[in-house]
Amino acid sequence: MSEILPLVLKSDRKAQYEFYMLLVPRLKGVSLRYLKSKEEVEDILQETFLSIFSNIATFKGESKVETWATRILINTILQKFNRDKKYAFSDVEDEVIEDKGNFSVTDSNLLHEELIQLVNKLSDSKKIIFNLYVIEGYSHKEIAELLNITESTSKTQLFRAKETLIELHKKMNHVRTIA
Amino acid sequence: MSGRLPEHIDEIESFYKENLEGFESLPSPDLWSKIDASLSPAVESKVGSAAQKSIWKSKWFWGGVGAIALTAIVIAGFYAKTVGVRNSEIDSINKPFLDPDVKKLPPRYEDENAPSVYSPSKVSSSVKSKAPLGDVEPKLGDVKNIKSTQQISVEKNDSATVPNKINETVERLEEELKPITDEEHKEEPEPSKKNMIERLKEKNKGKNDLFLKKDK
Repeated sequence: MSEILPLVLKSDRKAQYEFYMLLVPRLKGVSLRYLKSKEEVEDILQETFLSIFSNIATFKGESKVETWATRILINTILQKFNRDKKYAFSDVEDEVIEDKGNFSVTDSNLLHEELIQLVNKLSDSKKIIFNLYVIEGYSHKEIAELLNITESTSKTQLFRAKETLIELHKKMNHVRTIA
Repeated sequence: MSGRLPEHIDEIESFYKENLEGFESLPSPDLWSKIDASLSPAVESKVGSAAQKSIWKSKWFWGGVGAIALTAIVIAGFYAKTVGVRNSEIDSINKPFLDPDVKKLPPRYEDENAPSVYSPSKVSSSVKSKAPLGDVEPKLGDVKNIKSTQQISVEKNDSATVPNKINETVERLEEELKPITDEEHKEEPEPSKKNMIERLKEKNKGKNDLFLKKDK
């Protein structure tokens, strides 16, 4: 990665492609936890990589390139949510959870996709806070600053997200045993 | 998926973190082509075309182009002038030789005996025919006509039928050109005043007594 970076800085197209190939699987894995449709994921990845190549000169090497790129991706996703006004943190009522399906238990990759689908069943506000706190490792303070909400709202949303997931797991487990 | 499904609210965090952190998925093949298409005008224009625009818009660029063009015109003009003049001079010199009209000159110029036409071979042949060997006596200062003694002796031997006049002339020239030896030089005493007076006395003996008296 360190060998490619100087060439990426010079806008060398081959190096940019190699850089993209190294980062895109991870970034796609992250974006799948926030966005439901494949089209949305592709659009966000495209926007993110353009932003990465445009701002590669600002990368100072204080953290890993992957971490830096993931932050850019999350910022892009949050901008999209904010743009589309998809989430409303004032709404604290539980969503009605619809069980969509039969899941295979034989393939471990599908199990990962199961979990992602369960996360995506959460409301956008719960999903964002759950992902930021549990997976990305942000604190409630950081989330509050990032989303312009209070820390208590962040904590409440996280608690309700976990409750919902447990309910979903129970249902999914029931569905799986029936199938 | 590792571990059993979480049943308690505190377990779900670690379960999802373990299973979803670092999850990777391959992108669709045409994603890069979309990025590449979007990247071409965006990133490359920042580096390449922006610099090109600044160059094309720069007055210094056009000023430089103008200066180079002007210099090229001046050099080309100077070259054309000097080389053209030189060629015209050469043409003017070569014209009589190159001009096909020269061949159309009147036949009198082509006549071998025409006096106005100089031909070294013809002149030498005509001189030889008119002036046989040794016929022309060398004049004072005429270095060309002076021959060495060896040359003369050779010519003398070779030319048995040459008139006697020529032989006489050659003999006389040999005498004249014969180097004076030291003995000959010594035999002729240097004329002194005394000898000169004696000669004058003999010459004017009986004619001018007054001169003799005075001398005494």
